[in-house]
Parts: sequence; structure tokens; C-alpha cells
Amino acid sequence: MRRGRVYLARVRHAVPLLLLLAACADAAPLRTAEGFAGAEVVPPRAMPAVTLVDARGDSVALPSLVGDRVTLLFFGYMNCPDICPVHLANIAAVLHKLPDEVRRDVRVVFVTTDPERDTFPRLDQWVKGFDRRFVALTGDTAQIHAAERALGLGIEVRDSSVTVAGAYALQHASQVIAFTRDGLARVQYPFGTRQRDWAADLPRLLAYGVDDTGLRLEGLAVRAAPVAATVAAVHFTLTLGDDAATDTLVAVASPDVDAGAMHGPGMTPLSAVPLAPGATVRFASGATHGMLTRAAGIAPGDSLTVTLRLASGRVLTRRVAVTPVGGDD
Amino acid sequence: MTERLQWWCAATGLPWSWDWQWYPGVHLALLALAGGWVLLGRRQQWTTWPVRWFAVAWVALLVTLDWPIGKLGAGYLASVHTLQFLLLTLLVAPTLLKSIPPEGWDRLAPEGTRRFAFLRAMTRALPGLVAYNIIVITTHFPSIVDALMVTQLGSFAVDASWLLAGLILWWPILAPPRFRRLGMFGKMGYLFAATIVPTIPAMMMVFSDWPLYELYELAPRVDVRFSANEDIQLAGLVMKLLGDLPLWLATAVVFFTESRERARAEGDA
Repeated sequence: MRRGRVYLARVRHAVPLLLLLAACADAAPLRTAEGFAGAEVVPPRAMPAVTLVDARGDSVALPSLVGDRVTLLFFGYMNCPDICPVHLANIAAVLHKLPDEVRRDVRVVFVTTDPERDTFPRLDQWVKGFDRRFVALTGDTAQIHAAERALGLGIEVRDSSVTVAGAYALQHASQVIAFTRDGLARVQYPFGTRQRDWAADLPRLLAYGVDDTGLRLEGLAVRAAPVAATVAAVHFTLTLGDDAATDTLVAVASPDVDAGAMHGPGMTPLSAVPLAPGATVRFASGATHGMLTRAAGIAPGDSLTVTLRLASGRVLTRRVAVTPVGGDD
Repeated sequence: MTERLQWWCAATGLPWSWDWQWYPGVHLALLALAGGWVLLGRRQQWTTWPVRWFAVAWVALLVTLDWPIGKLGAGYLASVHTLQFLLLTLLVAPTLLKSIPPEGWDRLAPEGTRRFAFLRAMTRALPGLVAYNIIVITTHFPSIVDALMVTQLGSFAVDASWLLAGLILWWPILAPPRFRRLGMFGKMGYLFAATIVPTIPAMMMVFSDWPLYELYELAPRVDVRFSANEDIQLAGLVMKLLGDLPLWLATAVVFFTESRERARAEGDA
């Protein structure tokens, strides 16, 4: 019995040592002021106005990939032996376990930094091997570098002294850039971000800047004529939460243009659009819509910040790419 | 990619390669073990040399610590890391104990010495179980694994502690009769009890939402089709299913061997 007590006493002595070891091993993780497990992008950056190519050979303006959803943008290459497959596999594993409503609102975009070797359809198959919803893009090296520079990322360096299975390696930026629903890059996730960090952050990124009264802005699009025009139409749907007080939309504007306005059918100027609790207001072609005017012209591919102001004082801001008139809403 | 010479397998973060790699520390340790065993036998003038037991222990140790299992387990796959744990505790340790004949143990720890008193005390169930389980739990604690496996010394410490855990675990079962205190049912209960605590880390690995170990979650993939999540779940299954099997087998061996000995003793009487 006495011996048993001696053993228990020894075990008790071991516990603080174990806790100390555990504490020492856990280095302080990187956190933004909002508590995201990465580095804050200061100031928040817009998606670069760069056009790349998808697996179908279609041109994709990067700004068209933000807004509505959270977009995770990552620059890497298929032959990458460590960082790229680990990042993509971890994000895919987390999305697989998150609820549908989170999963469908997260878009993952992989841009190759090695367009010479990463060609379609292999690149698309490789990226979709992690998750079939992931988007693979390639393009002109100059365009890819422009996008990286615009986001403050380092440009990849070909390192022939380091080979993987006989092929050259690339030293490249290892961060995944997270764009929130307002279209702005807010957080850079370094290599080392763990699945549990993604699982905690993705729902929070989706909720970032979203009004907690249930005010929901969806399908925001700015449509311009294919040739430079001075005006562009603003389309969206706006829903007020069931329990919210009645409100009024009083302005559609943008700091990037000269003027913003709201028009009813037949181009009737509107100064206010009422919002009833639980009701949805649709701004669309041929119906009520917003209008932005810029003397210097607005063209597809431009990136604009659009602001909706409500009488209650609430402001919704999104960064969107201008798309051609007639495109899908 | 080329790697710097490492003495002992540890995580490097470098991409996995099937190219053979030399770990001088592992080979020197194995040479020292073989040399030590021969010297001990000669000095003690053993009349019987358990060469087969030693050969099994030595080869199992080589397979466990050397390339590729040593390298995979140290820095790439949690499932292989768990396999190493099982090999060291459930194969290398008992065969090492059996590779010293009873006369060797007699000379190593003559009655009346402190060494004898210590080894005799360690044949009791409680010290064996407590020490074994503390080592098992500690060396599977995520922050400890993540901190230790990235250095050669830390990785060596984990391997050594697992071997020690195995020696402690099997001593009450395999100690020569002079040291033994546990009876047949005592040994069977002891072996059953030894399967309980490792179930905790095994179940955590199988049912955890996210990979437990940062090291293996962020390690370069050996094959992109085998994810970190699948790896950690396999590790848990290996630990529970493969880990329990030798202990159940040992329980059966204890039962049949000791029953036969009892029957023989009763027949002689």
C-alpha cells in the first residue's frame, strides 16, 4: 500500500513536467487582430485585374472569382513535392468535413507558377484530384507575375540545383490568400496552417462583414458594354432578415466612379427602395437596377468597389469585377 | 533532393524519396548491441546461447530503425511511426529479454544485490503497468511527438523510450523463475491490462476530426493519394488491432504453457 502511494506520488511529479514539455512545444501561432490563423493583409487588397485561362480554354478575369463567396487563392505548381499538395490536401480534407452551406460558399483557385510544364488537361486533373470543385488556372507568365506582385507575393525562382525526380524545382510563395465576400484579400495563410485552423477560420471568413440581422446581399454584378462605355448596370438581390426592422435602400454607389444611382423600370430615377422584413428585392436587367457612371469609361475586366447604403446606416461593400452585358447573373 | 547525412532518422521536412539513405548511428548502435551481446556471453561463459532470439531481436531492430521504415516513421507517416512503436515494444523488447539465458540473468543480478531487488520488484504487475503506460501516453502526446521527432536526439529518445517500455512490459512475463512473482492468472490479467491504456491514443487517432500530429499533417506526402487524415486513422487501427494481437497471443501461450507445466507437476506428484 505504501509502495502504491510512492508510485502515485512519482506520477504526480511527472505531470507538471509533461505540461511544461507540452507548453514549450506549442509555439505561439500567427494570428490576425480578428483571430484568424494567418497574417493580416494590410491594407486589404483587391483581386488583381489579371486575366488567366481555365481548363476549357476560356479567359477568366481574376476579379470575377471574388464576391458572394470566400475565395482561397494559391500560386503553386504541380511538381511541387511538399507545400502545394499539402496545402490543397488539407483544405480539401477540411471542406469535406464542413457543412454544405460552408463548403458551397468557399471557392479554391490554384494558379500555376509553372505554365511551361503545368498544361491542361493534366493540371486540371491534378487539382481536381484533391477536390473536384477546385479551379485550376494557367496563363501567360507575365500575367501570373503581375497577379503575384499585385498581391505582394514573391515571384517564383527556378532552382535547377534542387531537383525532384530529376526535374527542376521552383521556390515560390507558400501563402494561401483568403478573399472575403467583400472581394478583398484579408488574410494570408502560410504553409503550416493546420486543418483545425482552416476548420475554425472558413466559417468565420464567410461571416466576415456579414450583417448579423440577416441582411444578405447575393449575386452582385456590374455589367458594362463590351466596348468602353461610360455607364454600367448594377444587379443584385438583397434580402432583409425575418426579424429585422423595415429598412430602405437609399444609394448604390462606388468610390471608383463619378456617380451612382438607382433606376426603376423605364429608367425612372429612384431615391429609395423599401425593404420589408423577410422580403427580397431584386435589381436586374429590365427591372429596378443600379447605375454607375464614369467619364473615363467602365469596361469588362475593371475591378470596382460597390457600396449599398441603407437608411438605417448600414453599408454593404463588395469588390467585384465588371463583366460584359449579357453575362450570367 | 539530396539530404545531409543524418546519424539517426528524424523529420527533415524534405520531400520523400525512395533513394536509400545511410544512418550511421543506427548501424553503429546495432553493431554495439551485437558486440555487447557476444562479450556478455563470453564473460559470463554461457552454456547455452539463445542465438535465434537474439537474431530475431537484432533483425527486427534493424528493420524498425533503418531506412525505409525508420525514415518514414520519423518524418512522413504516423501509421509507420505506430508500427515502429509496436515492433519495438512487442517484438524487439521480448526477444531481447529472451536473448539472455537464465544463467546470464543470474550472473547479471546475483541474489542479495540491489540489482536483483530492482529486477525482482519490476516483475510485479503495478510498476510494469504504470511505467509502460506513462511512457506510451507521454510519447504519443501530440506536442511532445511534434517537438521531439524533428531532432535526431529527440527521435532517438522516442525510440529508446519505446524499447525501454517494451522491456518493462515484458519483464514480469519473461523474467527467469528466480525473479518471478506473478502466477498464471496474474500474468493473463497483466497482459489484458496492458491492452487498455494504449486504446486511448489509438481511439483519438481513429476518431479525431483532424490529424493529431502537426508533423505528419504537414509532412511532404509519400503518395498524394494517401492523405494525412487516412494516415492517422490507419495509425490508430494499427495501434489497436496489431498492438493487441501479440498480447492476446502471449496470453494464450501463458495459459497453455503454464497449464501444461501444472499438469506435469501434478502428474509428477
